[in-house]
Amino acid sequence: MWWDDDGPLEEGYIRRLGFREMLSRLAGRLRPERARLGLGVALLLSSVAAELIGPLILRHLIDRAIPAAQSGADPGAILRTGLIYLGVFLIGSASTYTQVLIVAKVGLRTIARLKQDLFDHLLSLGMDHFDRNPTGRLMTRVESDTERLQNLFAEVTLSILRTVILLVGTFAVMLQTNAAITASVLVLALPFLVGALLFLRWMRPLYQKVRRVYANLSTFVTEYAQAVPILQVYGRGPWAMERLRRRNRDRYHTEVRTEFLDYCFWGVVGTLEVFAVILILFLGFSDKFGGGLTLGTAVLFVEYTRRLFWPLALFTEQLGFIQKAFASADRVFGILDTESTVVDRAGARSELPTDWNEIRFENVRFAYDARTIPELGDDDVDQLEHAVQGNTSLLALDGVNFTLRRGDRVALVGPSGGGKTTIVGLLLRFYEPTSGRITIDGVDIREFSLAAWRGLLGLVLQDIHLFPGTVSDNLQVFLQAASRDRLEGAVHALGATDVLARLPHGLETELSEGGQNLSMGERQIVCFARAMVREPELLILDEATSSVDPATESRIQASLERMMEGRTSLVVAHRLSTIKNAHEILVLEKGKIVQQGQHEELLREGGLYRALYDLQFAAGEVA
Amino acid sequence: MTEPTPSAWNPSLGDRLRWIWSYWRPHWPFVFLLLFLTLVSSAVAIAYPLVFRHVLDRIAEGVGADSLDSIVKGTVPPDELQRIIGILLLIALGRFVAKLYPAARAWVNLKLDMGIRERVFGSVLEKDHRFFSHFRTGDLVTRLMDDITEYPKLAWFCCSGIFRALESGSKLVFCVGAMVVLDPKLAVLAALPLPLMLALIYRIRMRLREAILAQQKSISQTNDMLESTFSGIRIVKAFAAEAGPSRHLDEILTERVEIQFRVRRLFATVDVLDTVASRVGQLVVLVVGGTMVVQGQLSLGTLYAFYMYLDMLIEPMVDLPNLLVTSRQAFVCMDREEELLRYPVTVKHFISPASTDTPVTVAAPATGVAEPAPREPIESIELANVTFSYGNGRRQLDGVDVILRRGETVAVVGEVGSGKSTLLSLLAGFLEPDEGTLRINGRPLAPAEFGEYRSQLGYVPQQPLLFSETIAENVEMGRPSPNGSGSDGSGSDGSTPNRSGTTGSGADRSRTTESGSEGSGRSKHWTDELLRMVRMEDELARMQEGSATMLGQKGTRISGGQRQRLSIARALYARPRLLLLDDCTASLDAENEDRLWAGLRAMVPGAIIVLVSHRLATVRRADRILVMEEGRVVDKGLHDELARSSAIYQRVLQRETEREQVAGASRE
Repeated sequence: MWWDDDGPLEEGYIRRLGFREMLSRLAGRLRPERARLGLGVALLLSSVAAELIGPLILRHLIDRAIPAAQSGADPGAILRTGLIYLGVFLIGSASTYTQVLIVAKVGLRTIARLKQDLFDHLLSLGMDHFDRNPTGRLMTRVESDTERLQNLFAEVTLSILRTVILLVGTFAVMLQTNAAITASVLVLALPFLVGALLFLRWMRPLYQKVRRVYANLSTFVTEYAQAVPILQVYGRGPWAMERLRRRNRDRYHTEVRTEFLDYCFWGVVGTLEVFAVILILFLGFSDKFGGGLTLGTAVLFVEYTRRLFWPLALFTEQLGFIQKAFASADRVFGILDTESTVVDRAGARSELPTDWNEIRFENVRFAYDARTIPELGDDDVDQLEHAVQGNTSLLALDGVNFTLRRGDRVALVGPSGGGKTTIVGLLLRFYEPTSGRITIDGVDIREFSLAAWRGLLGLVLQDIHLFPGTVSDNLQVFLQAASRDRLEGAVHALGATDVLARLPHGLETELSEGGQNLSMGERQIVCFARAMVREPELLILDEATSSVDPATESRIQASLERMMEGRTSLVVAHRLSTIKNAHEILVLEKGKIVQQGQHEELLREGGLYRALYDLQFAAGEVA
Repeated sequence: MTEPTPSAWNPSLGDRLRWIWSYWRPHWPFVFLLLFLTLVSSAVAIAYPLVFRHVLDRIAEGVGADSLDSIVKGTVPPDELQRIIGILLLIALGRFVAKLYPAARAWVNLKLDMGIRERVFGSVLEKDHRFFSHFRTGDLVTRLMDDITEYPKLAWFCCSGIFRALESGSKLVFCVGAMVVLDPKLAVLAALPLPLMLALIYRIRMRLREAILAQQKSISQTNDMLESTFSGIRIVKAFAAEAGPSRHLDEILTERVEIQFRVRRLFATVDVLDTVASRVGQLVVLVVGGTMVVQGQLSLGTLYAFYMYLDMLIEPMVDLPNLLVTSRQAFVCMDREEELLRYPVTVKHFISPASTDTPVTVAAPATGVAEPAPREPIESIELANVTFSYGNGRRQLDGVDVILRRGETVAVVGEVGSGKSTLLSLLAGFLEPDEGTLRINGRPLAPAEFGEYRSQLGYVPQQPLLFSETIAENVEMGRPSPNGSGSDGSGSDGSTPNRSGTTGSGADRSRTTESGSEGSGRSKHWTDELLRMVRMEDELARMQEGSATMLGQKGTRISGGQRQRLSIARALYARPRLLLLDDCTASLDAENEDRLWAGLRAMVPGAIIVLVSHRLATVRRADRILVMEEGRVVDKGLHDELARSSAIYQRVLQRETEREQVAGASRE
């Protein structure tokens, strides 16, 4: 839920904008729409004017038209007044309607553009940004934060403008009509306004508590609904019920209190209007004050008073919206201001050598930002805490050297946290080495553009990731570049033409959420084919560890073998067969390559490799 | 009205009202409070314009009806003014009370909200495996939270929806009534445009519903796209395909702007029609009423009262059709809750006598039912020719014959889908055999004896599910400390409950009082010992609050291995006679696992331990190994024998180990 993610800004990464700067940037976003906005404001004025004129016409009817008609001086006065009323409300309604539509369109378009810009900018950021920010948070930035700005643009700003104009207009007419009474109504209204602001500030922690308590209840229900079998095994149903009841009651008490306080506020608003009317009647008609208000003016004042307090109360509420929207604007612009850690160098080459021979890691060291280590062993949690507290960094790779010759299959093994994933990340240029370099035939890969370099690579990750869209969308990640033949060719190359044939609309079959209309094996094939469409020269593979049924397993194995055939590949290996077939195995521990060689050599050598092998694969010897 | 049988739910309107009333019943006095507030709110609504009518007419009287002054000025005599102000003060009070009406409705909403959630949650707690394979957790949570609480869903509708409609209806009747009483002819003329406008508004609202659905769809489309792109950012970047998702999002957003604009336009139209309806009525009052005033058929005060009533009518008239829209939504939610409540339970021992006539209001749980005294310790378990299928035609277990004896450790191995997890689920009591028998100590286990059997069980699932509670609470789960302690001599010597002789965790007193009232000192001691046994003591020492440390979203993050170890401690807490371990040592290293096994056996020396594992190192520890294939036990024996003689065992073990990470999770 969006309010859960209302937490602190990622300090140090996002600087807070000054109020002026924020306003000017918001205004800058609206610049393309300024003609429409101008029209909107003009229409707003006309709609407010109509609203102010209504009671004036009523006064005219009572004070002038009826007496004129009664005296026979002007029999048509009433009908004329009616026609004016008709004209005014028609113009008013038309203005309001058009204005609302114009502003809605401006708001929707501006926000859609902002969403698109944010999204594009996020995609251009380095991987560190994604390590630091979980998917949910990024989604909140692009969706909820911008929606709140939309409220700011479209609803709040205009409605505040409307309120202000309406109030100013109302008081202007009232002052002009009867200054004394108007002044006393103001005296009543001002303390109320201040009181309302104080009250809302005082209520804010309570509103926050309401949301928190609901979130707690929600967490509780999620956890316990998941764990029902556990609760049943231990006969803890009644215990769980008791806990639910307690959390239910917590929420109940908090919310009841908040609701009553909230409505008390609105109750006060309701009574204030009556007090203002009392004031008007007393001052206007009491002998002591001379009386002498006309009936029409009395009605005018009562009508205006009825329109006075609700906007004032709403106004105080809208201040809360504005505050939230500014917090969102801070985050949104913060992201737009964030610069990518991985960018093309000036004059980066866009052509790679076609006949390259080797890729080399030369004394590569790499430190993640201490906050964002993606690959953690259980022990590292503590180490991480230390690092975060000391604001130091952990060396994920510490002087790594190896060569990947064209056509070779190199396997990475070792305990988690050893540095396997980091090597893959650096090779893909998700990150830049802290020191040292990665070269292709002696040229630093940073000499090439990101697009060119990544064009060489194909990535298959251990977990299946599919996009919502068709199979074809998935195969080319929404780029509409590859021909149908090429897409089919990629599937064919995996020996999986039958999978495509089974899909009801072939390549154009829509994948339902997460690809649930495909079997596990079929989903895996789509992911493989996605890498194959690009005909990569270097295949990077993060092997799956999850259990699938034996038939699927062997099918996946076969496809993998077909993929790697005749290609250079770097594999984060979990399967014995992969390791046995590798030309070279790199054993990583704590960011260093501790052993290097072929399977049989390494087994003879002993050390970490042997220990790992014994723990996991000893049964293989029996067979 | 709820029967445990899988009866169909095809409710009539009466059934629905009875459903709603069942949650209302414990709060019946509130009906009168809300009815009273309805009257107050309507009374205030009709009184206000009447006061002004009176004021204006008195002033006009004072001035003299035949005054030919063009401008009617006037004063009110002081005693009259005092009376009017008195009435207005009463109205102010009435308004204040009337404004509390929504709060009172919200109050009852919350009461109903609790009642519905408790009832449905209570029913979920008694469901069997079929239920949980049918409903995903996310779906259950939606039904238990959003469907009940969100505006304008179930709880809101059951009170606010109904009483708001009642309030609107009452205001409408009273205001129109007042107008008719004041002047029937003008009333008819002024109210004439209203039904017409309402018919229009109602039609637009129907279109609005569709537009809003379309809007929701396009929003979730955006969210899907964002989610999949951000979570798949590695793919997007590695493939240098940033332009693809960007273009796709652009398509989605462009369409979304159009859809959202349509929604805004419909809303704006409804708003405009609302005002037009009111203004046309007022126009009639101005022209016709004005003429009547001139002709002396109507007082000025009445004219203004009409003008005000027409303003006030709009809100309730717009609100009333809302009842139809919200009721439809609420009834869908009601059906969704009822689907959970009615989902049949087939495993016999899950059908507790209590659940056949669960009271509609959830009473306090029957105390003492939870912990039946273990009369007869489990000495042996026998599965005789047991067959089980999930109903898809495939036999998950196919004639399984196994005898498990006191003190024995049995490992079950087999490929994915061979039936080993099913076997464990059957022993844990989640399933019951289709055919064959489960015998405890030589006697078949009757459904009624199940509670007794369950009280001797310890179960560690593959996924260690913990709660966002303290570490100690996660282990204890509110269970009393087992008194017949074997190795823990100090715990059973009748020490006073508040003795806190344990080390390093004095800070937890406030938290443990939540979990168990009796014997907290004793259970605390036992909990600490268990935590030591599962090798958590170092970690605990590092946490400031020791075993009182909160886990979870807002508490401490712990690793997968730590979760598994806590889950094991939880299983041992009640000194089980049968301990079931479902592949739960995957993230322990060899040394830790050695010590854990030694400690575990010492804790429950006489217990039967059944474990499912893929790890050679774990399987080797068993006294006996059962090899399963296609629902059958195809081989039994010791590791060395099986490794020599059983082809399936060799194949299974090799395949499983190949699949394992070389070392991925081997460190802790």
